Amino acid sequence: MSYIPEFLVIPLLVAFISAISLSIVSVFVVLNRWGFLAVGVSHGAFFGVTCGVLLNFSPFLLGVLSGFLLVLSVSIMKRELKGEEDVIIGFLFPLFMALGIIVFSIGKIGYIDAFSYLFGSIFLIDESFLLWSIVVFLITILFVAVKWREIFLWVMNEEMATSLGVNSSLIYLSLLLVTTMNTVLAMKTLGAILVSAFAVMPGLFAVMVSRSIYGLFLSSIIYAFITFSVGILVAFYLDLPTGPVITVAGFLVLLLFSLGIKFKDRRM
Amino acid sequence: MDALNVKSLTVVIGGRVLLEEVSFSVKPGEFWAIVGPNGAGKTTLLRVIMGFIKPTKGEITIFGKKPKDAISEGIIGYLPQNAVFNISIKVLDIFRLLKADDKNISRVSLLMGIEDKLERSFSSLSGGEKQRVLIALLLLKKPKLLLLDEPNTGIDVVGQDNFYNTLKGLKEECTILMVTHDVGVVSSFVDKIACLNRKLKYSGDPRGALDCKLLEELYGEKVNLFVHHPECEGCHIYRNFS
Repeated sequence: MSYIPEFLVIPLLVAFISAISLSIVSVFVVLNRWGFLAVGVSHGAFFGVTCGVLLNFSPFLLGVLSGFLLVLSVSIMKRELKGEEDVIIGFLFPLFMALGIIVFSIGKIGYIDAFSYLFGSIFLIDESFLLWSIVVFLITILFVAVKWREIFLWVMNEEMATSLGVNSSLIYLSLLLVTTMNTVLAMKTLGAILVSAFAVMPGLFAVMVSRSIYGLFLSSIIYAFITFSVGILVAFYLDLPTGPVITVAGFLVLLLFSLGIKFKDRRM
Repeated sequence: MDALNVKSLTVVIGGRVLLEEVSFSVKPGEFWAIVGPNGAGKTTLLRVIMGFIKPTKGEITIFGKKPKDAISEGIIGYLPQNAVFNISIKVLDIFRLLKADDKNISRVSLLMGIEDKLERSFSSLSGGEKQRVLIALLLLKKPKLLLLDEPNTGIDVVGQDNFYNTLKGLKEECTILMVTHDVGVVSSFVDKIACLNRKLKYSGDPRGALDCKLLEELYGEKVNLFVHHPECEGCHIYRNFS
């Protein structure tokens, strides 16, 4: 810790806790093809966060609430419209982002704050977020530790899982809420625009390299830790926003592994 | 007691009649096939039995219980249409999700002929092997009634014979109700066939379902069928019956 400036200790702790927590959920986001939901959470949450800043009431809680309500409604539409929900999603997600920007303008929150919420900045993370990150991390660990068997069965096929005794509605809503909480938490580091990428990348990496259930979680966590470390270090020394640098670092790791797997397959 | 009793079942969704006055009963240990054209209500029927769709009229009992109770008691195993997914974990790990012991896993693996696939990654299996694994997964819970929605999807012609024979071998384990399009092939393996096109057109002996007039009425046009010759069991020679 002596090598880390004191003002960076809490932001770094929050950044790494949120990264590891999101990487655990990311496995289910990828297996369940919930990439679009992660985008929805970040767009919806941005509106809630800005309202929280304006009203001076927990941006995290309002972010989770608005993000959850948006993805829940989109998810219901996806079920009901069976593939014809794209058009509605196409304008609904940007609408929430637009509302967030309007709230920012009304509240005169300022360009720098808006920029940091959109693209992420660990320098804006304060002590109150440390508590939230620990709470979300513990909820995530507890949920996955207790329900992982049922979640995997549910991810495989919801209706089949029901006949196997899984309470599908409970698993669905819980997983949606946990995904939302983790996405909103990581928004502080990665920003509303880029957090959806990181909700997918660790899980994608895990699916590429793992052949066991434990391996999926382990590789996802290792990936998140490495890309966050590299991203934050580069962002700090080159004075760049953390979100884009972590996203690019994450992409490069994925690209290298994809090429490595292709090269290995060719040699076989 | 009947394994399944469907009485005057009618389902109307959005003003569209999907099932109309469908009644039939299945005895324990029987292997049934439900056939009919696309949009005939075959999948809807299974989903109503599973309690996912509420019937507009009529009643369903499974071993004397309502669908909701039968599901909560683990009496039904349901394999939906296109249930196959891609996950790169081992087949054995999938079975372990149900906290199954080794004895139970060996039992279902033997029944479904997948003893040598347990260490394989699920995503590396063929379509037919994946279906066998998923049925084995359902059998781990020892269901009394197995509902299979087009389980033969992705299985080649020769593989289908093998697959249906395996299902036939499950008769002592459970009652099977299977939705399929292969009225010709399946008629050699099942005990009863139900021909459905919104209404139940026929239910009974499989040979009766091969009647040209019935099939023409069921599908709305003349149907050329290739079925096993009844006297050449297992020789893979087919004859056009129409």
